Amino acid sequence: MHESKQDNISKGGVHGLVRHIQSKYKKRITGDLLLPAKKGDYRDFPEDLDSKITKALKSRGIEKLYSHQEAAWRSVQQKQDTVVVTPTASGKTICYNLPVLQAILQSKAKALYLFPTKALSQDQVAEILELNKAGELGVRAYTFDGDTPGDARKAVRTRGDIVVSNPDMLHQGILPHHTKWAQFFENLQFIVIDELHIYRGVFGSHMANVLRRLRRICQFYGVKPVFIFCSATIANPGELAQKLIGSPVTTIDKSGSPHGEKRLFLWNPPKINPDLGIRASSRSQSTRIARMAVDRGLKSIVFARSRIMVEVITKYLKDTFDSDPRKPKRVSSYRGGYLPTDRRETEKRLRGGQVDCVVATSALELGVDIGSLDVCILNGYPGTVAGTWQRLGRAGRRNRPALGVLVASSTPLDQFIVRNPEFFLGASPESARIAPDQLLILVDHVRCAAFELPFGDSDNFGNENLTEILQLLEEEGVVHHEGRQWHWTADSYPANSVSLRSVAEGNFVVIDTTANNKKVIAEVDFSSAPMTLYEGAIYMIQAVEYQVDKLDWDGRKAFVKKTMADYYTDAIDYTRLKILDDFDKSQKNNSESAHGEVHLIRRVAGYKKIRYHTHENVGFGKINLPDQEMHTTSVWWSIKPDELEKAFADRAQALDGFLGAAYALHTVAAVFSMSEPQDIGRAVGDGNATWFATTGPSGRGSIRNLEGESSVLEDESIKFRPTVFLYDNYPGGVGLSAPFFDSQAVLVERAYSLVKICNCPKGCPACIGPILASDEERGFSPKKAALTVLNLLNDGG
Amino acid sequence: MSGLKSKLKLLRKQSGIQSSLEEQPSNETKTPLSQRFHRSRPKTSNQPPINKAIKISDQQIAELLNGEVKSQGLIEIKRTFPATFKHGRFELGGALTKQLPTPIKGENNFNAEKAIFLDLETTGLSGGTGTLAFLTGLGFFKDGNFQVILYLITSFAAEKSMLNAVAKIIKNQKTVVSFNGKSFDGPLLSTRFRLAGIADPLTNLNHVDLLHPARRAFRNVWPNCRLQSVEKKLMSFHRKNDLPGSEAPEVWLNLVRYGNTEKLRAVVKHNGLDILSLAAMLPALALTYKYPEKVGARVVDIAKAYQKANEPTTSFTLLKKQQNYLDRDGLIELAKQYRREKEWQKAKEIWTDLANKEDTEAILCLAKYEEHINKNFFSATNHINKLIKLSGPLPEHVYRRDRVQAKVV
Repeated sequence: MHESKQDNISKGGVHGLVRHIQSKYKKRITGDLLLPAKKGDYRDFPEDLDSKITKALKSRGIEKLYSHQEAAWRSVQQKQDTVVVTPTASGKTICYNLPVLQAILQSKAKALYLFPTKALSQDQVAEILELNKAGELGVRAYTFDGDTPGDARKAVRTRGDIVVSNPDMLHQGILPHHTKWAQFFENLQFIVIDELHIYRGVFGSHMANVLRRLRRICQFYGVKPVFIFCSATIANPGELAQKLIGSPVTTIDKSGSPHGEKRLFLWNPPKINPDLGIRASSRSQSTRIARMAVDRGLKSIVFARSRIMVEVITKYLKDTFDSDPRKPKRVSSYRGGYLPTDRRETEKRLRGGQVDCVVATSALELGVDIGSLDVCILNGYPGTVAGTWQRLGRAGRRNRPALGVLVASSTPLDQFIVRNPEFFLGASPESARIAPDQLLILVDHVRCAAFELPFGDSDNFGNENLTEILQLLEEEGVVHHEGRQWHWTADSYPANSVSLRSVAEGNFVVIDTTANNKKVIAEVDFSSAPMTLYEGAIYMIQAVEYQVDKLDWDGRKAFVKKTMADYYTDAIDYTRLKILDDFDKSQKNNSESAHGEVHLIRRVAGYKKIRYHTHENVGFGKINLPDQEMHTTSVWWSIKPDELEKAFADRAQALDGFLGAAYALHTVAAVFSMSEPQDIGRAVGDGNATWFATTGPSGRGSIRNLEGESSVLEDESIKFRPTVFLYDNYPGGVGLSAPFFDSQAVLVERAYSLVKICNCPKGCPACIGPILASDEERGFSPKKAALTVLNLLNDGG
Repeated sequence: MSGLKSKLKLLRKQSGIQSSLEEQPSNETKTPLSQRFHRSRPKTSNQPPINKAIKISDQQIAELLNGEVKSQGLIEIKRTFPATFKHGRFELGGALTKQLPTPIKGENNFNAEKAIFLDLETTGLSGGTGTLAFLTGLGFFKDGNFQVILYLITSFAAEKSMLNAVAKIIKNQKTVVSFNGKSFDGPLLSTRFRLAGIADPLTNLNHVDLLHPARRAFRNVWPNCRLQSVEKKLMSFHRKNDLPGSEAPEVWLNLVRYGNTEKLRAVVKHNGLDILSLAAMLPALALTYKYPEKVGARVVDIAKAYQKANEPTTSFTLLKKQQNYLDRDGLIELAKQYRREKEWQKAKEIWTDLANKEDTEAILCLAKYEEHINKNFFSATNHINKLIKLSGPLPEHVYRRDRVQAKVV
């Protein structure tokens, strides 16, 4: 320890490493951001704070509050629902623990804390118990989740002052049994929801409905608890919190916590084959940077995106630093799937400064206290600006300078980020969107709510017509209208069939039959099953390859066996899409765009076998699956036929331009909406489902109609009006595409610059998708075609 | 009207007519909710349409069930049986005169005259707040008779009057007797009281759940310990044309939805028999715990039940008395109790018998005995060697052998 500190100083610490990287790896750094150090803004403890709590804080070394902690206190004291936006390590738990502990001491209040994961609940309880011990507060805090033993549950329900749980448990375990929690609900004064930013998209839409149910139960017991939210930095924390609970929320977003100087590098691995545009792996680069940091005696963390990557990088680093078994281990790994005790041990060693480098998944991103680190390396873009800053926040606690390095992988998203540093560095974080009235989600929760308490004729739930929904449920035979009430009548427990993380019913399970013991190894969402679990598909879990032997569509099961293949499989799907209704549209000189409801039919027709590394096509297979139908919401763009004709030599080239533009728009839309790329679908067609285009097995854009090939490319008498669609890839839509319409200029412009800035000659997977070698030969540039289309969509600029 | 309008709009679009750009999107032309819903999630089953019920009066239902209308939607069915009435081969009042063994009644005092026998018929088995009892069966002893009172509701609205009536009867009792009621009937009823805003009368009562002593006695003998199994195998009571309990929810829903009374009598009969079985099960289980061999219960399990109920002496006495009926586990248990009482010779005899049949646990017991009590290290070594021969060189055996051999030296 002492020795390494000396090294640290002699080699110039973080500043030395920064100088070293700047001089030696200048070319790899595509972006550089310096955030100067900031002083803390402190406040005295509130005068009315219980002296026992003051004592507890002081004994833990806290003499003053940060300004935002004090602001949260005041807001909550006035019974206002409050959201606190806090960077990592700014003492957010104090924001809610102070008012809660005070109320417990003064009026025997109860509080419900909700965290998205079980691990965080454990940490939270440990923290409260420490305060409790320090101040002899006598407060009882328990976790309540799937791990809580049956005989302890009653004690939690009846004796817990603070119950720490998660949304799934609230949804399936607490609300449907609320009478057992009667004592708890009757005294419930606070609901604390941490990691607010996690509740977006499908999960967030479900969460809003779970909270509607929770408020309904609270009303039954005659209480109106105050909500306290904590969020990492996103663009719209107040709006999100407000949408989740359906009433105004006070936002506290000015942090009073200090931080040291922070520097961020965006790092693109060097090209190792300039002709093919192949780059060195991000893994090797991340390992190299970690080695430099450890060599300089800097404490560092490497975030990897998958568990397997954590293992690989850990192995590389251990080979360097932990080869001598007589010395204490300097490198550690941390991910989900390890035993809780092992994880606690690693956390302890991290806090104690006994680990020089930890390699982790996002399991370490949320809330877990691991003390002070100097360097944070992200192996791959975490998917959102908000998530990136949150992980980077791991370095630079306690006023020390810190360095973050974001190492790009070869995926389009990553390449977009590092090649457009001004986008990332200047970007305000994304907005989190939810659609609480998404019909399928809403109806599912009305079902759960009807089970919990009968609905009255004049009740409301969400913003759709509740009576119509209840009539729908009466048709299904699950409720019965009698007098002025709707009673639950089915012999079922509806919450068990509603997963908070998906929309469609009936997930597929993947069953490994390799050893004849039929083990379930994965679960796949209904909507992505046709693309990943067809017979013959190579399905990968943690880089282990399985081949699908048999797909039982009705039974929702895929039977797989372990295999060793030198190829992976890629499904070819045709998406036919018809516009049903437009909610809003806009017209420009050259183009039109709209937002509305669409009906799409997806047929998964076959698959390609693609060899690793060379990416050559080594075979095809046919797939026989039922067509997938879906109604959802979409945004779409088209170019006026005259303008299109002027801009392109022939229709085939225009089509390639549209397919490339769609690819680029899809990438930037995923970034824009904080979604996974598979949350959004894309299609090119004419909007009436008379023809649709795909990048076919040949790699060229091809056009089909319902019968097969279409003549629209040749037949001049048919109007040619290609349209590019981006749609919510969930039945009914979850509100992702509406913001695309509102910000369409930004979106198209970003897509344009993504393609423009890419320094491939004619197109590549990082901009418009893979292209054929033959394009190179015939002198056609799909990239240029895509740029022409994008340019026209934004009216030439 | 708006539904028609939107349908028209949809059709126009589907036939390829582009809506003019001037046309403003309008919220009034919203598609009906059910249509939007079923577009996203097609109907999976075809439920029969819910026709409004044929009106059937409470009075008619009461007559059908030979009961009496107590208030709107609440029907009371009363039956009285002499305490000497035989249900199967046991008298209903068999428990009035006997003291119940502790493994049945638990640590609390039990007086059959202050007991309420309880069984519910519910709209489902899933638990949680969405399930309610539409039929509450109660039984109690009064003036030398066994009184059965069943409350049936004919509407959701009548639940509150039923709960009040039930509370009134339960309030004066000391113990609830049920079969699986600790996990099902009790919590469900408490939930209903809570939802109806009525003080829960069950909170002040002890609860004797007969499923547990029945299961402890027979779980290693019978394939299952459901109520019907206990009736048939222990009480020699055979139901005729009994309605399976699982069909009860449907019967009641058909009543409230369609005014259909089919099978309603069968449900009531089923519930009434449940109450009788609860009463007669007390003497039946008392016999089981006193003379397990007479009813085919497993003696060692009964002995363990006494242990658990803090009556080691009863347990020991039972095992000694029944030694001839004991299986291997029973013998091991008996030897264990001899060892605890330091009756080494008796214990050793049992172990030696079992050891001759190559029972490893018995051999290990012998080895320990020879090492620690008898201090015959040579003999202990022999036992351990035999053990290693039978079950392989497990580390703990090898460790034991090395330790004993060191003592020999």
